[in-house]
Amino acid sequence: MTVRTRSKIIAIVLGLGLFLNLASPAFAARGTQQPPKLLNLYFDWQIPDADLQNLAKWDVVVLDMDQQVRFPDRIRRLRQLNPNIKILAYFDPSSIAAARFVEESNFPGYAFAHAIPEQWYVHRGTDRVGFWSGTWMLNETDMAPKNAQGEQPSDYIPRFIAEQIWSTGLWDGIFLDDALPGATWFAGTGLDITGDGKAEDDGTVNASWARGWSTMAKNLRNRLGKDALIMGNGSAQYASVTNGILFENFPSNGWTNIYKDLSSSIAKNQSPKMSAINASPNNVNNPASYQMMRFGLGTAMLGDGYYSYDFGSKDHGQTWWYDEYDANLGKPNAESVALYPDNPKGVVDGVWWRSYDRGAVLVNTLGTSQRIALDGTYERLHGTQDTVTNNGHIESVVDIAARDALLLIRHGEAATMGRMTAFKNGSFVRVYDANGRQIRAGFFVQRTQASGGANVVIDDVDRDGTLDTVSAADGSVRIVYGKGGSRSMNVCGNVKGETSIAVANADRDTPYELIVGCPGGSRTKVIDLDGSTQWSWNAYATVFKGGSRVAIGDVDGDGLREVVTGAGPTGGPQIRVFRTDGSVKGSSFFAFDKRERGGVSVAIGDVNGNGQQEIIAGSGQGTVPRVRIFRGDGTLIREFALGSSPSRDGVTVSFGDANGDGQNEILATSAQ
Amino acid sequence: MSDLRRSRFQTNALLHGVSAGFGIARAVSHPFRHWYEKHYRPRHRFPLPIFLFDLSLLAVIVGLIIVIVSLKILPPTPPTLRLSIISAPVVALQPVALAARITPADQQAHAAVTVSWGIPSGWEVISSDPPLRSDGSAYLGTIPADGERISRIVVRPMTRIGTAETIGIVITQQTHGATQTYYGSRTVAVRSSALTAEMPVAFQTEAIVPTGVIIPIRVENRSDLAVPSVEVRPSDVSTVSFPRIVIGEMAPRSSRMVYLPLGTVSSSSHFAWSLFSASREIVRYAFAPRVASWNGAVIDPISPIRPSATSTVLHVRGVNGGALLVIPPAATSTVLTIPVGSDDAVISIPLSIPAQTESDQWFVAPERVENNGTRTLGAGQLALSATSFPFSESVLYTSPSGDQLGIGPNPPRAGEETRYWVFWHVGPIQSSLRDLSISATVGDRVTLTGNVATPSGGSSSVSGSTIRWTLPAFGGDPNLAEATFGFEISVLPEKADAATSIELIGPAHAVAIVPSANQTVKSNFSAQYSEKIQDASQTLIHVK
Repeated sequence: MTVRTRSKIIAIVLGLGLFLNLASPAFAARGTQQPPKLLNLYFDWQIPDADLQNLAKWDVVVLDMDQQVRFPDRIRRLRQLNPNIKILAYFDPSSIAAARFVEESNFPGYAFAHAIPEQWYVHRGTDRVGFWSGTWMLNETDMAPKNAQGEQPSDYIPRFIAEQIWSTGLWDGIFLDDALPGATWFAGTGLDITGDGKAEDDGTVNASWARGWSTMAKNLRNRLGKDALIMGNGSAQYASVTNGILFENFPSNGWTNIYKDLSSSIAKNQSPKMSAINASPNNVNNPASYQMMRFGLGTAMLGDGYYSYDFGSKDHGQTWWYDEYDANLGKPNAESVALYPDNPKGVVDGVWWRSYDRGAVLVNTLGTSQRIALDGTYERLHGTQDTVTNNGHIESVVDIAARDALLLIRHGEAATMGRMTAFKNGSFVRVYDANGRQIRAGFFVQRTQASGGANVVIDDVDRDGTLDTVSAADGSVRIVYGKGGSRSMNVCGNVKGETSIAVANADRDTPYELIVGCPGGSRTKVIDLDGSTQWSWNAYATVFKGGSRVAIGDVDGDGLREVVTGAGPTGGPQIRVFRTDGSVKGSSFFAFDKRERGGVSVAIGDVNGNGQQEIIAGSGQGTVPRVRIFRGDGTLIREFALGSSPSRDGVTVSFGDANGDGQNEILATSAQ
Repeated sequence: MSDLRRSRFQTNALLHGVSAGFGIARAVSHPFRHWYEKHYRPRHRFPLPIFLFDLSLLAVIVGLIIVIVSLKILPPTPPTLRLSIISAPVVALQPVALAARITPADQQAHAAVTVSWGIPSGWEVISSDPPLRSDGSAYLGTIPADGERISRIVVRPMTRIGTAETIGIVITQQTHGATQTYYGSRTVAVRSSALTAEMPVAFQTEAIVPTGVIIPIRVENRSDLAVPSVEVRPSDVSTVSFPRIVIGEMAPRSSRMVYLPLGTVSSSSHFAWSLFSASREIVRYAFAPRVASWNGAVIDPISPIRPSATSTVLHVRGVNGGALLVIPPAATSTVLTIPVGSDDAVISIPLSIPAQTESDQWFVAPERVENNGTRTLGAGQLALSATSFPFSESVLYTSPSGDQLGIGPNPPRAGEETRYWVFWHVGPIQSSLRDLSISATVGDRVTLTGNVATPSGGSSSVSGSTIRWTLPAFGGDPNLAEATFGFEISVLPEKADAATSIELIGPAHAVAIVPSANQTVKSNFSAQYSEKIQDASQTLIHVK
């Protein structure tokens, strides 16, 4: 066997392995630091692969500092999966766990534990004091004894963090646990913080503690720089010296207290602000505790906070994901307001509301359900978990249960649609994701800039930064420009009937071209915006009079767009691919059973976010309504049904931003 | 034998055995060693590792070949379940019962048995016992050792007559924690159809004239189910073309007449038409008369039948000795044969049009009968006779497909707003109508929200509480056979309305013009009311 042959065999094997790796769907990182802003306290010492993939969806993840030695590659991998993620190192400046002393000697936790002199522990008499089982309290006060270098813990701890943790370059910041308002509230009275063997009074202890902790945080900021994220866990009084404070155990201290703390912290936090709420089913393994999860999330979203939901204080280390986390409400466009009671003074228990760009958050902190008349039409989420609450219903009045929250999406309307391939004006559209799941309630798409029944495309055809409306009917095309003005063109001659339209750049010049499927035959044309024809050809046999549906996109990844056609009514569901000059490219294929004679509708778009455009096909008139997604070579990727009974009008598919939220969806229309 | 000699013997025997073993090994490995010496040692810097690597590659390839070959030639494991598929005769568009009977073949019980039916494309599943799960499978559970389980489904085939279709079955069962899968199939032939499109016998003449012949077709749904999206189209093999005729959904046990214009034909023309449902061809027919000339046969243009008429008069020339074949309006099985006794005849035909006849045509064609009994069909005429056209109105909170259209409490609640969508639907209609106008006035507690949907075009206007939709033309084209308009209404009941039904929308009046006769046709839909209004709820909190 020659080297060449051997190399070929090895290359094939390696290629297969590489293909299997790359063929996995590209991970779409969801952590974007946009609402809902999510925080995960992940203190499990193992980070399994599945959890790593899930953790990458969070905006902020807190890992134990020892992970920098245990699994630094996982930290790097997390950042690869989500370049926007913020990873904080967990560090407790207020107590040391006995377990740290017996860790691996190269762990920072071990190094810190062994670096603390006896005099820096808080004592009651001669005994060390601890408030968590298995831990001893560190003397964070500004009255703590100094070491040989003249340092107090508030000096040493920042130095340690900077030298041992921050210097690795793996972290975006530090999470400081036990940001206590004082020492005696947790450790009890009679504490010796000066190391002279005598107890100081509680007031002195606590005041000194607060000053010391603040100094520690300021020193940390000075060492790490303004770009480092510093977060504390506990008291709102440290809000101004940190980027955020985490408030655990929502709402154990009462909703009003925790919301006041959250709000006041955010007001004082250094930028970027990241105060947060952590809620849980109270140390029970119950991820299906949806109402509690919603209550906490809604509260966090009332106040611009981050949100964490997990098992509870005894075990932070889950990747529970919820339907609400995927809700794309946009940014808040108003402050939160109390709907009830009327005109309260300050933060009170009641019903609260906050408007977002694409929806709203409603929170009921009362012990009874309430009925709310909304300021418009909203949709509940189309959930997969709590399908009773998130049932996708359109509401103008909602019932909200006691101590619950609702995330509502403003009901879609044609006027808010973003860039969209051709749809039929006046039709009823349903919105689907790439997996065929209906993600929004259907709505009538009636654009006033086009006549009823016309095929309409929304795009910026003149490249002036505003969306224009292009409509086609009875052989003519009309463009209504977003900045005013319109233009009509008869492009197909004296023929009546359905006229298909697509817009894109079909050549190498800047302006867009229009791709038109004329009625009464299968004439397909590429025309400039001034109406002049660049190319014209018959997409199907000249005897076929059912028309052709058109779409344009780069379906083979060669950097050039292709025109894709689907046969009109009375034709089989045949799809053909052409270059923009009308020359045939590749092989045609039947999107559905070739015996069907209802035609097929087509659209093109990157359905699954893999950077490659796919062909989306809708079944023809009179057939059972289905959508199929193909690669450019006709390989079927996915399909889903919209019903089980034949549909008179078939399915017209479109692809684009149905609600102007910047995300693309599949729109499918069929007869009511 | 001394111990020493014994041991030496034993040692020698051992040595001989080892020696013999080595010899065999050397013999077996000789070809490999030879190959190594000849092809590897002189060529490679590290000959032995490369040789061993190549050997492993070869071993893998050989192993794969062995596996593939063995799978092909080794007998399969005998099945442990027995399957028989029972099918009633398959009639297109008629519900057909299929059953899969499964029994153990090994006298053992089989657990967790599921069945998945592989139904041909276009076949609709009507019912299943046991019910189908979300993945399309039916769970049969445990089949006892001496028992059986049966999965039954009722399907409606939408397949052309003469086609053979294969019905597949996949059975899975759990045995000792492992899943076993079995496959079965049965091929059935579709021999007849519940949907037919036949020419009335009276028109099955031996000859036709070369121009102007119109063929009446009686489309009949003989099944007990409504048949969706029925159309008549020229068959693929037809050299005679005509516009496709959209009939739409046909009610169970219903029929209607459609008329296919042949245009100009010759003896070489081949006329065939196909009946489609859900865009699938179900059955095709052909009519192959010879073409014969028949000069001078003329029927003056016929008129629509007026609503109050009991007869109509026709002026006929050149049909002496022949007859007029007449299909009255709204008739699907009646063909009147009226003898013509002179060359220039005025004939009175008893024809009337039932009230509320939706856009219908009546038809007349002359027939000549030769001495030898040969019949020739002449050019026919159609006239539209209608007092109304298909028009329906629906007030929907939820679409037939299950989409939520309305908003708010349903039934409406006092003090709260409820929205509905109202749809006006006209057609399907074959003939042309123009200047369609539909209007209605909403009830006292109702307002128009301004949201409309015009997927069929046209324009709408609002005047006070009255909404109007106008459509310049529809019908006369398969793509214009039906039209829909929708608009949204908002109802806000008062406290006093509780426990009563309130009017949502008053009677709808639709009017259109038959262009060929300049005749106005009308259709109405009665007022629609809400369900009983609910009492006002607890205090509402309003978003500011």
